[in-house]
Amino acid sequence: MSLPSEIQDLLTELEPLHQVAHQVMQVLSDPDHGISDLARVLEVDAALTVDLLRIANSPAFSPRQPVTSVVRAINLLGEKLITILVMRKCTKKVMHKELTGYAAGSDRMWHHSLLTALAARELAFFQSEPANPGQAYTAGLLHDIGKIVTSDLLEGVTGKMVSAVDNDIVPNFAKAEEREIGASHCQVGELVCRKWDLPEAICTSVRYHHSPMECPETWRPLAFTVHVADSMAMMSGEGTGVDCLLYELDSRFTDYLDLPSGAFEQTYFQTQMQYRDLMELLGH
Amino acid sequence: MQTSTRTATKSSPTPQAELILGIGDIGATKRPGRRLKTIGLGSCVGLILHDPVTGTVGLAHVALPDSSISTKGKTYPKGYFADRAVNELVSAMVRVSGMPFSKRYVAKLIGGANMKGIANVYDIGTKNVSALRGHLHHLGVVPVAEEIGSHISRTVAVEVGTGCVVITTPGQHPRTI
Repeated sequence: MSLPSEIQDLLTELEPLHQVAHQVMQVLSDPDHGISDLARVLEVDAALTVDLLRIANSPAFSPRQPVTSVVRAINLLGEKLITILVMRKCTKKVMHKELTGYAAGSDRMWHHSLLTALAARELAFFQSEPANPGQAYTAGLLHDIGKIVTSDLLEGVTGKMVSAVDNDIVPNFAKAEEREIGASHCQVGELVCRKWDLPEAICTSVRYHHSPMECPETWRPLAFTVHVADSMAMMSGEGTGVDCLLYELDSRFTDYLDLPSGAFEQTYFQTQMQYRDLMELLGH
Repeated sequence: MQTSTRTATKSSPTPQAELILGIGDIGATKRPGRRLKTIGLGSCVGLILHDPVTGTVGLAHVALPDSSISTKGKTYPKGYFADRAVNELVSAMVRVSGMPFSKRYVAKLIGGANMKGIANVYDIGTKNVSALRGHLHHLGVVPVAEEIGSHISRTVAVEVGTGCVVITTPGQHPRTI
């Protein structure tokens, strides 16, 4: 794919991903990982370790004995919550960027991505092939990462792009991005993930999260998992600004996820309750 | 007097005297100068009730049509499912206003959006709107105003007294119904 020079320049200037965040994603992508693998990655960051121990010893968790190790903190808080706390801290610079081109405030990307990640983890269990919930979670968390680049190029032009989608001139907002700036946030997101040297599954599913049927067969179930999770987050109203809901839900997801309509609504419900509980815990 | 299912930290009034309601929450108030607000209605629907006699307003952020899909024993906010939200909101209105339920209540529905080209069975927005209309009909209340459907996210605020509803969407001008 030939990228416009403006996008290439922005990609060149992109800061590297926080080392701990990168390693956590690598660990989660391994379906056989254990608590000790995650602990080994976290323990090397002293500030992070202090933070996790402070939270584990807080009144919210009230441990019987003081928590003095990362392994015990993971056992107490659970891998899911630990991962969220770590990723929130380590990806703050990129995930909390204000997406002015999408008319989205500085916390929109994080909230949307977190809800998508939680949904993707739940949906992974419905994959017809052996699932990897950790990988689905990471892919969900990063699926819109391309927007940190494309946002800068969309300022002042999103109004006509929304009209183009509303009037069916283009089928969805990703296609409107391609038409307006020469690449979609999905295409740019793949390049961001490759620049950060993330696993192939993550790079590819990010690329195809709005066009999962075009995804190579190997990663198509994951691409559909992220596609449906992203749709659920947008349907929940947790979008990233003007493009919220301006995409299709490809109903062929049922070929890759054993998800009848009842299970769809149950997963939607369970994910929202998890998200709500998390927001309370995180003080939002 | 006001009531909400939210905890104090979640629903504390802002300096602008707004009571912010999250997904599945219910709120009602008649305190002058107050507004009830809920942020980011996608397929969810904001059900608004207004008693023009007492000025009391109520808002429910309804997420799904039918509580039968909830996991047994799992708790959920009172306004989450349409089949419970209507009665719960009416109860909150009665409690706050100090007056019995009346068919004079004015109802408005906002939200119920969806993805483009979504299959009917997954069209949660349309199902929510349909369910709420049905439950309101049983009470003899017909919505006087609606802004529903389409592919946009909406934030909604309703004012005590007038029952005036302001709808905002990223990148669009606010609307009043």
